[in-house]
Amino acid sequence: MRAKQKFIFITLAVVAGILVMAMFPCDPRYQGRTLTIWLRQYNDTPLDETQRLQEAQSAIRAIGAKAALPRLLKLVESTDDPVSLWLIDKTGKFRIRFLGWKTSDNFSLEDYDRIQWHTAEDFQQLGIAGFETLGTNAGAANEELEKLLQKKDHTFTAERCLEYIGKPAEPVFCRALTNQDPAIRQWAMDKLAPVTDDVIVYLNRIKDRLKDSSAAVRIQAVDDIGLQTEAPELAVPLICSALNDPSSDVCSHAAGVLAGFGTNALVAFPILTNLASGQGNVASTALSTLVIIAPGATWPILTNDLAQRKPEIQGALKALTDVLPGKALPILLARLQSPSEATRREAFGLLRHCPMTGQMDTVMQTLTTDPDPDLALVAKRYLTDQYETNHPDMLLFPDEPGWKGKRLGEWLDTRLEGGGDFTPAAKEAIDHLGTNAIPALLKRIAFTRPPYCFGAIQINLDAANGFIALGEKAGPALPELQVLMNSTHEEVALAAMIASCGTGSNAMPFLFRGLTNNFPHVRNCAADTLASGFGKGFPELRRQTMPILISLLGDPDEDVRGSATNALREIDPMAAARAGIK
Amino acid sequence: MIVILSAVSVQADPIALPEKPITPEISFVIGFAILLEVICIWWILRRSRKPRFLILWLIGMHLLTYPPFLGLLWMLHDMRPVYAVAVGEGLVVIIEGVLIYLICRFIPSAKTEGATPSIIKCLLASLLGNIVSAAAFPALLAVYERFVSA
Repeated sequence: MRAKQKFIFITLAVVAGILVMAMFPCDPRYQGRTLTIWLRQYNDTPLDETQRLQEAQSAIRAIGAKAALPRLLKLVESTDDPVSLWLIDKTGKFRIRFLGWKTSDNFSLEDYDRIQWHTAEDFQQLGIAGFETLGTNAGAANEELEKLLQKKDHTFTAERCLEYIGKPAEPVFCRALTNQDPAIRQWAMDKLAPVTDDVIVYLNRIKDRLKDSSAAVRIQAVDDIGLQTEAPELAVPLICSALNDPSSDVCSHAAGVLAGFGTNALVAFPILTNLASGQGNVASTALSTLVIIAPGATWPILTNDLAQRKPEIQGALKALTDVLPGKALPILLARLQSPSEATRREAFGLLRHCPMTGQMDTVMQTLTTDPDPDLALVAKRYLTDQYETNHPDMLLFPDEPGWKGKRLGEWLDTRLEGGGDFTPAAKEAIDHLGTNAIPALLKRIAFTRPPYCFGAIQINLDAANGFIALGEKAGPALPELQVLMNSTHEEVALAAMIASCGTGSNAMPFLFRGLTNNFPHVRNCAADTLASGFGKGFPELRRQTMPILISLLGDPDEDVRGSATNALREIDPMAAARAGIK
Repeated sequence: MIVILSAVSVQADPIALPEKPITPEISFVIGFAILLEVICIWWILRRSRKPRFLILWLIGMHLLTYPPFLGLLWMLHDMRPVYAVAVGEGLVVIIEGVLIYLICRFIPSAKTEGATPSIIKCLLASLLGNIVSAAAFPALLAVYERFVSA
């Protein structure tokens, strides 16, 4: 009996030992950390943290392909099972709630990731990261990855890994050209190009795909052959054969890619002319290509089509604008006189690519009164952009004060890296300029873009920030800012309200008025500012806004209603609850 | 537009996480799961010699085994969830089986007749008890979500 019990206990100890060992999967290590941890570091680190990324990459490479590949293959082969998915779905929340994390402020993305269950996709992503790091050194995994390619759930992962392996995966890409799945055949053609050293070899490998049963594959083949412009003697005949494809999409792609070969594609002129005489997408693409490869010879066809008002002409006109803008300009100008709104719009779209001339300027001025409001608006925007190009900042704001050789406008543009706060030097400059800067800053806040008074939010807000940097010194500008808050331009009213925020409690009346401003962005910003750190500095004053905030709960703008709700919760949670906010 | 208003101290909105406290839900689910397991073990061992208040002893035993089990699951987040739970449950079955055996063998019994359960029987009781509680876990969660938290 004792011997039997002894045997049972030994068996139990062995089983327990096996279970404990199962907790520590065979994972190669480097500097005491497992490969999985290094992979996670590499995968989770933002691209701008180069040192951390390099550290992980070096560690993975130091572990080496031989030791890492078994684990990497296990990772990329990960598959989700129903139990794991249920556990992730139902019990993941307990992990966060156990830690008492209320908002994302309490933890970093890395912390969050560390405590979560991981799906098969997460593990596969780690595997991909490993293959990315090992690159061509991971060629030994080709066979396993090729098998994985056949499994629907793993195709994407296997494709990424093989792409990172690159040249050593060349035989796999070649075999994948005849895979049963058309998507894999398309992928293989695409990936074979960079790993095949000789363009002729590449074209010979993929030319059979022009006869593929799938039109999508044939299109991909045409596009990939079309990229081989350095071998026109081989590529152009192949593409020409695709011009007779039963699928109009393949035909259209073939006609389109020939344009990339320029005069080397002249051999296709007769067949393209034939196609251009038809209708639809193929005709349009063929005509465009003809314009590019033989503009002179195509001119009669083009003018004939124009006269017949064929709809296929638009693509050819675009090509003509690119190749011979001088010849295209009179045609486009004539089409701008068309009674058809669509024709005028299309002509305008192309006209923007032509060099600006005195004649164009006049046409644009005329278009600003076009009966089509959208066309009139884009013409005005175009002229506004032109005006700005011809009138740089220093011409728009002459006589601004300056300090240490820089004008105020330049100091307002001097920000910390990333476009945030002013640099210490800029703050010092604005502080030094003091009240002398006020007239110039007011002019910038009230600024609208000439000649059609479009908003200039960036200039307005830069000036508002300038006022904030002035702090209490901006006091004399408050009456003027109060007037600007009634502006009919939303950007000006908004910037005027924000500009007051540097003056402490003096800004509170501005925010009160902002809550009832005509523009929703101003009301929204006022409510947000009252709820933010700025508003917290004046608890009693902001409490006076409660009735207005409650009335904003019925605001027509959704964002304003949301901001008012947040502000009420922040300012007086009890009153917010009474107002029906949960 | 509001986002670019760096003038006023604008911060990105933090993502709000579930604010519900963990205690009621976890207490309900784990409490009932343990109760079912204990009842199952007690039923299997009902004809064997066992200590008075076996159910209380078994509940006490879970105070020892459940926290390490949850801790283990916490630590094994880098494994596929199904493997982590399988490994954890496997260890729990063995440890609880041995503990049940020791409880029945060394804690004085109310009745003198009958034999103390064998280690195999204790392991079987532990295995079946844990299967019952693991199977009941999803149902208990669903019950809580459907009736209690609603």
